[in-house]
Amino acid sequence: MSKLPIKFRVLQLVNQKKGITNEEILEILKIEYPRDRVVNYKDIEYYLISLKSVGLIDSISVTLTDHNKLVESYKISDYGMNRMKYINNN
Amino acid sequence: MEVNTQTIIQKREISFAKKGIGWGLLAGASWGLDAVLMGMALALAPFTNTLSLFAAPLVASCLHDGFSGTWLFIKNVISGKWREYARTLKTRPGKLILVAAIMGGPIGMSNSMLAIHFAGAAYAVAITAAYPAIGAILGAIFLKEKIGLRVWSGILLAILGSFVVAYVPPSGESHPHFYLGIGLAVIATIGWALEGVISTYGMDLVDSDIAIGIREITSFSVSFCVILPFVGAVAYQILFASFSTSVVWYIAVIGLIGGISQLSWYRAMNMTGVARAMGLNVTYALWAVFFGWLLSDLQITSTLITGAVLICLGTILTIGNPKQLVSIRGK
Repeated sequence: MSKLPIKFRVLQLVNQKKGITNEEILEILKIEYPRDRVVNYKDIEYYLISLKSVGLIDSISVTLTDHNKLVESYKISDYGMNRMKYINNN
Repeated sequence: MEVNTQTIIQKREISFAKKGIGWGLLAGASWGLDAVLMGMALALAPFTNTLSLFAAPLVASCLHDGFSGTWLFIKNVISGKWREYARTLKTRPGKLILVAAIMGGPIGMSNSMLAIHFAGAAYAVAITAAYPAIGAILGAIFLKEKIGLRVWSGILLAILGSFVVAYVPPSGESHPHFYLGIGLAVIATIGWALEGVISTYGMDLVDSDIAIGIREITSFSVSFCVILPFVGAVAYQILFASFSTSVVWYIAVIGLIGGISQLSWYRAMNMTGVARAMGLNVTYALWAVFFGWLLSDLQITSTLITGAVLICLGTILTIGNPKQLVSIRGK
């Protein structure tokens, strides 16, 4: 099966597991897209903020680690659920 | 959520919105420079060919998009995103980007050129300058973008300013196909507005850097294979002749500036919404005056200053408060 574009896969992961964190998403993507340099903390954060700003995902909780790193968990919104048809039908 | 964490999140999201505004401003400035340089390139051989009035701008536009697409591909190879082109094109949002590209590139640009030919620059420019307003209306309807009264006023002021700056008084020439020209200007306006709305809808899922890469390559391919054959053999004569002159290198460099502009525009639409991004992009008219004065013999007149002031006021109102941009759309 061909791979989804990375931003699509981010939304799919949020849909598959309510409460998934940015760090969990990054770890999964590193395994699935080992040769893609765009799979790094900064770019995945950018995708998550972008998905959140257009209302496809919502933030559930945020914690700050001892290393001053944000760990944010997400859930898909109703609008995001509606857009899943573009991912599931691929 | 702790207060400290909440503050960090809020700061991060406001910073994202501010960056979107920054990209919108860069899009307008670089498009203004692009327009001035393209005007200078069009004054060079082989674009001075008089066999067809609109062949030269269409060929130049085709070459420009080809070079922009190439530069954007190189940029995406460097940033490690090149595999995303093929993955994206297999999806429905990716195919929507293709539709948006055809709306804005070949349909928008070609009809605008033809409108100037059939109805004269004065009327064509006046109509096509309204594309941000149409884009904002479509964005509010189809994307449910939140657009307050202040932003609406800003967009309308910026449009009025760009109209004042770009307006050329009717030359008195007779235009036997005047109403055809007006119709084509309307189609160009709707084409550009639809490009913004469709591509923004697609970019909810598609990475904006990949979307603009696809847009430029599609625009070039459709122009080369569909639009230029309509113009006739003269278009290909000009195109191939340009490769034996230094003008092709000028357009390659202008294509880089155009690529930066288009990349910024698509990022701004994704980060701040269609309405604001288009309101900021239309400031290119102001920047075209500035770069025209800097690089050519453009004289600054009171009309240009009036237009520039209107655009500046419009831009300030369009930018508004970045805190309101954290969530672009209504639920």
